[in-house]
Amino acid sequence: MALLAFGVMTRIPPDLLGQYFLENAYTAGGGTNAVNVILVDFRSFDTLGEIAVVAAVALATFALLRRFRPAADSVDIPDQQRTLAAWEAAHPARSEGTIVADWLLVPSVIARLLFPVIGLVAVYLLLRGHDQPGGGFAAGLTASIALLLQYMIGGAQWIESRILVRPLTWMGGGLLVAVGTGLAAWPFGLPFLTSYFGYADLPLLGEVPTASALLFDIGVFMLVFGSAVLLLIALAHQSIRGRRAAPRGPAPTGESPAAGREG
Amino acid sequence: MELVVALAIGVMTGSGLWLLLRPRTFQLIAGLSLLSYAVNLFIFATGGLRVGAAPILAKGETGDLARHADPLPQALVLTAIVIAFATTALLLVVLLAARGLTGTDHVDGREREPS
Repeated sequence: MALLAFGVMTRIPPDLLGQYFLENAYTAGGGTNAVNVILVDFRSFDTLGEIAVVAAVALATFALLRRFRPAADSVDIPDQQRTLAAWEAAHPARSEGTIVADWLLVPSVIARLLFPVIGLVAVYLLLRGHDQPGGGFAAGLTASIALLLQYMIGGAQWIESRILVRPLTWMGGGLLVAVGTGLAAWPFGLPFLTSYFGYADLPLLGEVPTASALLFDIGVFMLVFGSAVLLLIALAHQSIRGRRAAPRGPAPTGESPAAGREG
Repeated sequence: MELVVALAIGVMTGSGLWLLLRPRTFQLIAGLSLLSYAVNLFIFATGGLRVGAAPILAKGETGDLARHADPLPQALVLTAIVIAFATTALLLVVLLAARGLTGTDHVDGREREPS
């Protein structure tokens, strides 16, 4: 494999397919980010199939995990957690889990404040994707990170009592937008997924490339966001069910801290 | 430079294959990830490693391979990364289900009998 890679890297033929894409990225595709133009314009049919695969995988994961409960833990709760639980049980003023919540106070405040900021960065990445580094995939993953940080900090139940997350709606909407962008070429007598481009002056945002490829990219963004969130939420819910399936063992006695220190 | 990247690809492929042949499911996932990284890096490197080749065109300019980075491997690798992410997640879930059904994380579904 290394030999193969070395051979390929040291013998670059002079005429590559990339030459065509580079020459036509701006004149035919209307964007300066050649990679993104390839993805949403020249090879958009490929990208459409790809996001369909991602959606199918997310749905399959969701369906598999829906009625599934994880197996009981094979490793016991670590000594540190047991010590904490015992201390909390011995002090009636502290309810269960408050020590950990206090420890995580600063990161959780930061993560909650960052939620809109990361969302804004995602939109920025999405809108500049045609000309600068960015695009639908990067933006979708960034937006899902914003949401998943809240999950990590607040826990699944905390976040779902506050925000209505509809990953399935996002995925369906994304796929519809992407396919609709492709279909929109038909009334103009053009083949499927032919793209139109131009520049528009949006209020507040300045000059934004408004190719129809941007609409396609928005579809990609929505679908990637929905799929990533659906996948990881399905996994996150396993932790809730796991705890329900395997109730916590009896609280350890006062000996366990000493035993932990020796071990 | 090419030599270092080629060696890195080789080492990652080897480690990935070795992990892929291990009996535990977590090693399987780690091995598959390493293998897909190696393949992605390989695809990425087929564009050639060059210094000073801009990835972004200037406005109104037609690109040229002599001055710009080859966009095709980058676009292909972006697709490959997304698909690898999706398949890894699916594999993870399937292995999670297998762990729940068989009660062990051995790929055969049962521990090897001590001989």
